[in-house]
Amino acid sequence: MITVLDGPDATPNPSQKRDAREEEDPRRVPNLVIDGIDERAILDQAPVFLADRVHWESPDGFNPTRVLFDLTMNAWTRHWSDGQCRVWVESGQGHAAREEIKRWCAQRDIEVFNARVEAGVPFRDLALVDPDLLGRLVAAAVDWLFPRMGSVRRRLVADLDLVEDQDIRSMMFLFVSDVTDRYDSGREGRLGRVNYLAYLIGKMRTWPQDLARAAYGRNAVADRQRRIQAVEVFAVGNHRAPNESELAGLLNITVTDLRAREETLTTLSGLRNSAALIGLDAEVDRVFVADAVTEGASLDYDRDAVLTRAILAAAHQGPKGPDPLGLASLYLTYWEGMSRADAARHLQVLPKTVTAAVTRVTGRIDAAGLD
Amino acid sequence: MRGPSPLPITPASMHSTVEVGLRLAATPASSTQAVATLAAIIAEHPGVGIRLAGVEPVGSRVHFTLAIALGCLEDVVSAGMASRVALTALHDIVESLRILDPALVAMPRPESIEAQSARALVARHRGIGEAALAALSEDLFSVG
Repeated sequence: MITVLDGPDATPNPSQKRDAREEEDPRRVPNLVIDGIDERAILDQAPVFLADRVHWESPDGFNPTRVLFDLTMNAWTRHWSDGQCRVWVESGQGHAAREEIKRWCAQRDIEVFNARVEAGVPFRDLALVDPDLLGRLVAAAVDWLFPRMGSVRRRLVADLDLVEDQDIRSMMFLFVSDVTDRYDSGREGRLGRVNYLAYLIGKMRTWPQDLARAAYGRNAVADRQRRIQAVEVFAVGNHRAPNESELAGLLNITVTDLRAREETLTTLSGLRNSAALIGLDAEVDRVFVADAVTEGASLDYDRDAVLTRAILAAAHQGPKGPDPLGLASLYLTYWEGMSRADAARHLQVLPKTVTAAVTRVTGRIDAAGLD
Repeated sequence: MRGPSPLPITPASMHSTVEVGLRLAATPASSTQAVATLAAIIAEHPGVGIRLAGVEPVGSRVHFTLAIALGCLEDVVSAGMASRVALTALHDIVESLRILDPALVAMPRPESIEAQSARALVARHRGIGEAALAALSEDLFSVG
């Protein structure tokens, strides 16, 4: 049996009058309106209901639609940008559905990893919503959120070595599109009904952590967190950073394991740090690669010198005068090969401060003079 | 994967110094005038920590890597006066020594031949100017 949480409102009623009062509250984020149609009317095309979600991973882009027709219960699926398989079934049937899915896949030699059931989650079948309206609703939400989510964007860039600011808008579109199917438009918050934008803002808070887990794997993110904490605890007691063997001891792992884990993170960081600094052509990339990498390569003295002069001019002639933090951040990040998080730890500032400092200096570089 | 970190600063101390590496690529033709200019800039900014961190012959040139201190961590982060002066000195060096194609580079690792050569030269000569001049002569090649 489907428990509908939020049905369409065909006629004016006391609830609608209350909505009108709530929407006048200046503390509330606005309802989105597409072509004169309120977000609620658009999303009501697919009423939200309580469901159980079966969630798993399969190799080679397995499409869960294939399994739906053979299940003995009503089921829905939807593609998420993370590539994981999700099937929703009516509340109370999640565990039975998981067993059927595993059996179905086993009979066809399709691997199923880590199948788990999440019971009693809100779900709406967005396939029922006019796709044009839905796409424009998601786009309107991203247009509204993108300029207002500066801290989330900075966290993504600072914490995730492979994410650049220019990637975030399209990532945000996918994220909003993904999480729309679990938006419960009947949920009440302190300021009344939680509208679509308010819901998305709440989801954005954990987005950087979710992406970090997706990018590095849950273990790598946890490793990095434990490492940071161990270094901080050690530094407080000893007034210096731990050496390799001390750190391995603190983390209760061998030095070999420690090196292997650090290599994973450094490799990921290296991919980012070898990227062009200010959108210059690919040939300039090698200027930013540390000397260990360019040993033996022919050196382009002239280009190195021009670039250095441009960077120093940018760091020296800031609006508030010389900007040593800007130069230090840029130097540690691009020449010493540190991730922004590492540079932040070495400078004893927040990663976002390093990001801001690098952006400040690179933004002032006269790229025209570098060609 | 890079080897042991050549980090120029020691974390966990606000009094650690932040240094940047600057490579000067001297040719026999440019060397004398350039070294004199460098010595003059260093004399103009006595409060700025500048040391010779690496010396290495590469083809027809000799690379000098200067480690230029931007100041202590606290000063760099707060854009204190000492750091501003250091950055100005660095800017002056880069602008005045264009003849040597100055370029930011990673600091040489302490165990590298480049760094060992620099240490040996500095130990035997007074100041960077003399050490650099010596490096340009056959003296460099007698350094173990």
